[in-house]
Amino acid sequence: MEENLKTEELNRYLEFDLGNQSYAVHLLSVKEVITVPDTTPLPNGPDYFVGIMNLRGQIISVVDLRKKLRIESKTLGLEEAVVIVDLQGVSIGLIVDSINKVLNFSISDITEVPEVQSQVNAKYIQGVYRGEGKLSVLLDLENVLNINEIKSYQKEVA
Amino acid sequence: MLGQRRFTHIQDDLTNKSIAQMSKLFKEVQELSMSLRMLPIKNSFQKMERIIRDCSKLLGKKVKLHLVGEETEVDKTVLEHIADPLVHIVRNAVDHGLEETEQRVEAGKDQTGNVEMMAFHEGNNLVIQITDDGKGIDPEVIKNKAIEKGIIQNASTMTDGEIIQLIFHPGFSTKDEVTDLSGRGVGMDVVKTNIENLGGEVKLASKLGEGSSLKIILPLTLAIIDGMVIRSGLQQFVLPLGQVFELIRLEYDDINNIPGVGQLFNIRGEVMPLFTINGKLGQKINSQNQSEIVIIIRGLRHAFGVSVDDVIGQQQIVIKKLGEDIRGLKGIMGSAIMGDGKPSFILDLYELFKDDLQSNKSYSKLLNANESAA
Repeated sequence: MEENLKTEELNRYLEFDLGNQSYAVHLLSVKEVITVPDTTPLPNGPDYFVGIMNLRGQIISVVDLRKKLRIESKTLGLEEAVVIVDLQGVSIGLIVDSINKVLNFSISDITEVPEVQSQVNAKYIQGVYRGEGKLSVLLDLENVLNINEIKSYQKEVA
Repeated sequence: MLGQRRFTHIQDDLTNKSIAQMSKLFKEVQELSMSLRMLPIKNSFQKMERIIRDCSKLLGKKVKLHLVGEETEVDKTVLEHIADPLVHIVRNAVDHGLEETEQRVEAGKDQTGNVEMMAFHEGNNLVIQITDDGKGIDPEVIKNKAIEKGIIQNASTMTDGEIIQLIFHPGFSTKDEVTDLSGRGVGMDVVKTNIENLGGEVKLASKLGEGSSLKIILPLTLAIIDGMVIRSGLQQFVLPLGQVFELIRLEYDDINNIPGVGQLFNIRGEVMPLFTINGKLGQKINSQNQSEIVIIIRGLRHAFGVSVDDVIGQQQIVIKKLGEDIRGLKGIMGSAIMGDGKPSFILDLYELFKDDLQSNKSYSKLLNANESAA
């Protein structure tokens, strides 16, 4: 993903809200956006793990991104949606408060993460995009969801 | 999937008839498509003829292969995955199992060694048994090798049966020099993991001087199983029907709470531990009945009861893989999509309660006492 940032001039990100703040993920990692489906909870699973869902015959895990990032969700969850992302072949659904829009911007609009203590762990953040008087935090989903850990664990098992 | 559900709320006769007709047709199509996946084990078995011939030439041993149950049908994917393990096992039988011709004569056996491969169905399982009439596995040899290789420190507490299971340990080999056939130390452990990945198990039995027998037990198909749908708390779970031995209803008075041991119950003179799915999976218990529905599970070494809130029914279940992020969780085999479109977890009760059974030493003591008293 970092390579994309360097080489590609124009970047497209999907922006969504978690609590009162806007976040965005790289559009290429997004497979689809659906309404919150029926899920089956995982016994003894972590609190951010909502459960598994049936996406046209495929079983996909659903994670509450707000709980994962310890962000207080909006009081009314009317616009809640699930973003299905594909990270290194692993499909995961993420529950977000609302979907905003697709952002188009060039690399020069991305600001490095400021060196301050923030609500969200710094390694989860790729950068910050400032547009139209509002800031969007660009999330590094592979770090948020520990994809590499999952992958290496899978190899051990195999 | 086709359930055993009936549309009881529909009163109209014609509709009911049509539904019955349709279910029948669907079932036929399903069974037909399932049978397309099934192939006779013949091809795999006949490949062994050649392997036996090659091995016997190379080692200068006279070997005769007996094949039984070649027509037994197996799921195609299972067949593909057991081909290599079978080759390995057969080679082992000839190389390690059978003695040299002179030793056979000394032992009063026929010059020609016998290897028998047998395949048959047992319930919902496929069993492949490979037997040789060679020298058997000497626990002493295995023990010394295992200590030499540092796999175990001390074998004084182990029974002979436990010791011979060490051949499944990674890196174990009794041969000191590497040959074309064996000695690489990559062997039985790979066979075992391959079989276990398919959801099967390997059992080894051996008698010194008389031969060894390896039993592979595999599920007939990987894609579809008969499942029992149960409810625990508010959630539905699926259990593979093959694991369910019996269903009983227990009154609360029949359950004994023994401090330090747990819950035990007595069924027809046999004492078994009782576990609850609710307790294990952290579900809320919302029923306060006077009796409990208990599913009895009988394993190789253990028998135990698991209480559930409700039994919903039997259904054929298509096993779906879980997402990679939660695959390989203890006690969860996979998931299934239920009639309402929601996924449910398929539980492996052996796995789920394995730790409880093993940690419960006091329980096994009690069981032994129970047996000797009987």
